[in-house]
Amino acid sequence: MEALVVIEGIVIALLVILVAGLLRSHAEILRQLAELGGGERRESRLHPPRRLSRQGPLTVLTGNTTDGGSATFALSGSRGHTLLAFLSTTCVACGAFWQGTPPELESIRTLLVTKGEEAESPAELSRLETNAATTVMSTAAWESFAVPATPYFALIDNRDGRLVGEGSAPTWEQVGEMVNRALADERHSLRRSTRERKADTDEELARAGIEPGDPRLFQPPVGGDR
Amino acid sequence: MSLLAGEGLAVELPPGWEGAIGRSTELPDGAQRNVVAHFASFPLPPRLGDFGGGAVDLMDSGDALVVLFDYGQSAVGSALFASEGVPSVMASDFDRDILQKSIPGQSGVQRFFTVAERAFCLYVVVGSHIDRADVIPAVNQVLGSLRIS
Repeated sequence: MEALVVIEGIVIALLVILVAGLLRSHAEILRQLAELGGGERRESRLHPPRRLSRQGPLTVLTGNTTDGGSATFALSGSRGHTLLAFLSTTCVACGAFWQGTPPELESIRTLLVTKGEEAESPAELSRLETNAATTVMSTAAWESFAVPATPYFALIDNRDGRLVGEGSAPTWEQVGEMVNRALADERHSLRRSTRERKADTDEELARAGIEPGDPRLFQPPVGGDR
Repeated sequence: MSLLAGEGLAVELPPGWEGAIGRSTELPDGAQRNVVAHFASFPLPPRLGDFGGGAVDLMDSGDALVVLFDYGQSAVGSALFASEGVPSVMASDFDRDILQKSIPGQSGVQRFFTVAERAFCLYVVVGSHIDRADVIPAVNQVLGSLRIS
C-alpha cells in the first residue's frame, strides 16, 4: 500500500512538472508571436531598438556574396539608410521575401542578410536571390543584431550607424509601411532636439533659396497685423 | 578602416567607403568571368556593371568609384600593361571624355598596370570634375592600401 502511495506521488509530481513545462513553452510561443506582431497588420511596426551588441552597433557589414565573392557595406559615415533583412533559406515565412521585391524607398537600400556558409546553402541562395537587392552572408551581422527570429528587419541610419528601428512583418509591403512609419517618427518634432529642429528649418529655408542674412527674413509677415 | 579581401586582393577602406570583390568564375556559356573589384565612397547598388554601370548614376559631387578589372595572366607582358605597380591618380589625370558612361559633371581616369603576374585596368570615376581634388586623397589612400598577390 505504501509503495502504491509513493508511486502515485511520483507520478503526480512528474505530471506537475510536465504541465508546468507545457505552460512555460506555451507562454514562450505566445511571447514570440506577440514580438513578431502576430500577423496582425495594425500592429506591424519597426520598434525602437531593444538591444545592441556588446561591441556596439556594426559600422560595416562584411560578408560573402552568393557567387563566392566578398563585400563590405558601410553602415556609418555614409548617407541614406540601409534596411537589413535577415532571412534564411529554410524559414517558411521567408518565402514571401525571397519571391517578392523589396519596396523601392528613396535613399534606402536593402541588404538581404543570411548566416554564413557554415549555416546556409550558397546554391539555394543563388537560386533564390533577387536582382533588386544584394544578398550577403554574414553570421557576424546576425550575432551583432541578436536576430531573435526570421524574417527580421533592422533599419540603420547610414550617417551615424544608428539603429532607427527593428521588427518583423510578413510581407515586403508591410515592411515598406513599417519603414515609412519609422522614418516619419524619426522626423517628428517630438523625437528631435531644439538644435536638430533649428537645423531642419535652416535646411528648409536653404532649399527655398533663403540663406542667412536674406532680406526676406526681416520683412513683416504677409497680411499680419501683429 | 575596414579590411576587404578576396581573390588575391586586399584593401583597407576608409570610413564610409564600401566595396565588393567578385570571384572569377566560368559562365554557363563557357566564357570566363574575370575578377573585378569595386570600391566606392557611396552605397553600392545591388547589380553593378563591371565598369560601374548602375553605380555612376547614383554618385553625388563628393563621391568616387574605383574599379579594378583583372585581365588575367594572358595579358601580362603586353605593351598596354607594361607599367608595374598600383598607380596613384592626380587631378590632372581626370578627363570628362574617358567615361564608359558619360554623365554631366563627372570625369574619370583609366590606367593599365601589372602586379604579381596579374594585369589590371584601374578605372576611377569622380562625381564632380570641378571638385575632384576633394576626393582624390581618399582614392589614393585606397589605392595605396591595395595589396595584390
